[in-house]
Amino acid sequence: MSRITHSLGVNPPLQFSRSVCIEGSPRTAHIFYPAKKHFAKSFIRLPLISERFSSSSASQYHQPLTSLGELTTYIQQKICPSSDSACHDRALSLLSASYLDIDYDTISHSLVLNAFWERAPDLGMWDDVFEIVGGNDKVEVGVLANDNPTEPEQLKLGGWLTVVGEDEKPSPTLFSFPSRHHASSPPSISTFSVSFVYPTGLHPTLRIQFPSPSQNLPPGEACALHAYLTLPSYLFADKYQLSDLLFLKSKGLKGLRGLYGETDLEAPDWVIEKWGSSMLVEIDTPGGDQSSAAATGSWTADIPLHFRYLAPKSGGGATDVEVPWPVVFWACRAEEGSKMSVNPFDRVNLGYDGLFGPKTMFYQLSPQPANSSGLLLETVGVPVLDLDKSRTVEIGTVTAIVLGFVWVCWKLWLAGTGSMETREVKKDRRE
Amino acid sequence: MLPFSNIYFTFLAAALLRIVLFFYGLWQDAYSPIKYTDIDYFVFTDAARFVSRNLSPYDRDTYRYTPLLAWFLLPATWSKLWFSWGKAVFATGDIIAGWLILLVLRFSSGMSKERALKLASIWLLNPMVAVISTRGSSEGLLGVMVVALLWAVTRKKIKLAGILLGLAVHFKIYPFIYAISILWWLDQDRVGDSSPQSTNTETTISGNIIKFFNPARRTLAITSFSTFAALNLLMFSIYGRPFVQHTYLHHVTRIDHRHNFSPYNTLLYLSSSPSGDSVLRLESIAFIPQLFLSAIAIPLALAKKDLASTLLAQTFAFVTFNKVCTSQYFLWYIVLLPFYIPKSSFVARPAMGICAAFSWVLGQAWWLQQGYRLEFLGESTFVPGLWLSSIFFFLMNVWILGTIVTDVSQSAARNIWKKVP
Repeated sequence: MSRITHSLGVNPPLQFSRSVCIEGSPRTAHIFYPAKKHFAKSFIRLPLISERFSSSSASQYHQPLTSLGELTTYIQQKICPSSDSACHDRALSLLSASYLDIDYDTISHSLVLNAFWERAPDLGMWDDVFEIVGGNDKVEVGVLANDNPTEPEQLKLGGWLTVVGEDEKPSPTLFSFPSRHHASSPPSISTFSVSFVYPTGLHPTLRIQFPSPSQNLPPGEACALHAYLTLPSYLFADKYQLSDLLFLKSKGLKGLRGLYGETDLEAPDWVIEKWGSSMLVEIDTPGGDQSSAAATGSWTADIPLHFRYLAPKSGGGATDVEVPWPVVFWACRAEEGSKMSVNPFDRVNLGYDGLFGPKTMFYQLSPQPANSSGLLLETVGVPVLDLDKSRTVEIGTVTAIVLGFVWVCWKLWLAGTGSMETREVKKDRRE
Repeated sequence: MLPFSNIYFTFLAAALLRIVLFFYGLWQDAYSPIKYTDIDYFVFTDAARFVSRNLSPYDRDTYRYTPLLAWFLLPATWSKLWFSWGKAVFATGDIIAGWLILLVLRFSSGMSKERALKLASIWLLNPMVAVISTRGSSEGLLGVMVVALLWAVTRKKIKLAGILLGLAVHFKIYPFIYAISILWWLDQDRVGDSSPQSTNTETTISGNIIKFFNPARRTLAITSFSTFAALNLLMFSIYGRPFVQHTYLHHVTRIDHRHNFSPYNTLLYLSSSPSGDSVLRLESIAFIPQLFLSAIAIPLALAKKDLASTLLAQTFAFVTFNKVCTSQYFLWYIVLLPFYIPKSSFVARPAMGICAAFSWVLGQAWWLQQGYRLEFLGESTFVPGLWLSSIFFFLMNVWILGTIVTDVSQSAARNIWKKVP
């Protein structure tokens, strides 16, 4: 139910954006990215409002990641016994996961891997074989479907559970639990898509588009639509620009609710140590104004951003950068906040969940990528200085400065000697 | 009769221009998402808000000014109605600067009222000046200080001049270049010192040195330095290191990689980046031609001939050779233009004047067009577009500067010719 561009432990949300997001201790994450220089320094800190849900991690890191290949190789070589081919296969299957959460428990010293496949790894039917290899392993397989919950904050699941190697036949089961995260319903039309307004220049506008106001209804009464953005270091938002109400309204925004991490307004990208910044904005919904809502088929929210200067490079005057899609959700006030802490299935430390109070429920809108790859990333070209064209810049600038300097000095020299002449003329006349 | 030969009309028109722009700005800010008010004005008022809560103005990102400015804008934090207080003060500052220009022209240069008014109108009725101050940029405030300094010096109010100089340097550093020309200008003949003058032409070196440090020069040096030091000590004692960092050190350590009018700009972008492999490290020696011209050569060559025009030439050289240059810097020399115009060969030879004005506008237009293509269309116009246009703009400014230098020295020569019986 929960969507992220990044999250807990080490958390590469493969399906949503090709990136890795790490929340927690830099030391935990280090084994997966040992090559990164100043890795520990590049974490940013986020405040925690609901500590119960984001217990330990106020640090966050994000990095675009093309594949989980390095991680699966690491698991195969360092964790799997060399003879265990099933372990190797299972590690390999992570490559097709929608998301993978890795959690390290410092008290029990256990590493917990949570993988989620939104659809069958191969096309068609879900066909999987589970077998027990080691003596102490326990594998439980459940086939469960969503049921109608009795309370709004609940999730209800029904189906069969089997412990592999112990149960003779699957046992029927039905259980419910309160959940912080829900899909906005109906999921098929509670959608959004993301694009940049072209031309982007150095001040790109990220546009979130919603199909129609009648379809994107708030799930409850006390709900507000939010977008949570992951901005790599080459992008930044200006909190001062986002403080004027008229300006916000013209962009379809209600306000900036949080901006954390690297927010320097002037620095070029090459001096930034941290990975970037996280941003939470509240989106203005056309709900209050029915007439204008009915008139337009779709509506948008525009988030004004700025590029930092990127390093000059040779071969063309543009550097392509990838910008992950934001997470868009309704944040609603829950009636029974206290109950939610017990849900073992909720993913926590998603970046935005810690920014809301404990009595908050999240209704996720599903992203509709326009491209066939299904990746939730936008690629934008940033203009940079072309090194191939700039060979003459140094010599040209120096020549111009020296010429200008010498010219003014010459004029000053003439002025000095000229006045001396006049002084002499003056003297002559007096004599 | 031209309307601006009437003093009441001129000042009324100047005030009216600013009042209309002021209220237009209020209207635009209230109804448009695009603000009339300058971004810097929000920086000042945010900083003032921090001060009003007993916090440091440097808690506001990009506040790079003396805390005096934030203190001064405290009324802007009182209520919504008072928010534009600073703009009203800046606009009033414009008018006072115009009045002081008039006074200097009338009584120090002995100009007729009509002529002086016409020249002061270059500042008073200049729409660019009025727009900048009513948008809430503090640069106009510096204009008042500089013209007041000039007025005080020419009226021999040396202590006041020293205080104004110290304050101006505390405010914006660059006016320190005026110290040398004013000191040089304040020689024995000018101050009319009562001490017995030596008729002996062969004075000793030590005697010359003692003679050089006449009371006026000593007073100016002591008052300006103590004002500057006192203000800095006061601010340092209240705000500590952030004050020094943001007001002064920032200008030393900043990289200035973003595109601006300076000829150094593309080179700085290149050399500050990891891919830059500059041999010369030009950015670290860029201050040498700039300071040699604006703080040493121009004052020594011209100050005794015409102080006001020398200040203009210095400012022009400082801005032209600076590592960073934006349009607000132009205001620094516009305030001094009225003193130079009467002896300008750009006026005496209109064809040349039109050519200079045209090239200046062309340089700006060319650069701005390239800048627009970069910032909003995302085209990589750094090289050749932005670079060539900034080099062109630089060379064109150098030509104007050379002409100013010649004009100032020759006008002095002409004056001498005239005075010869």
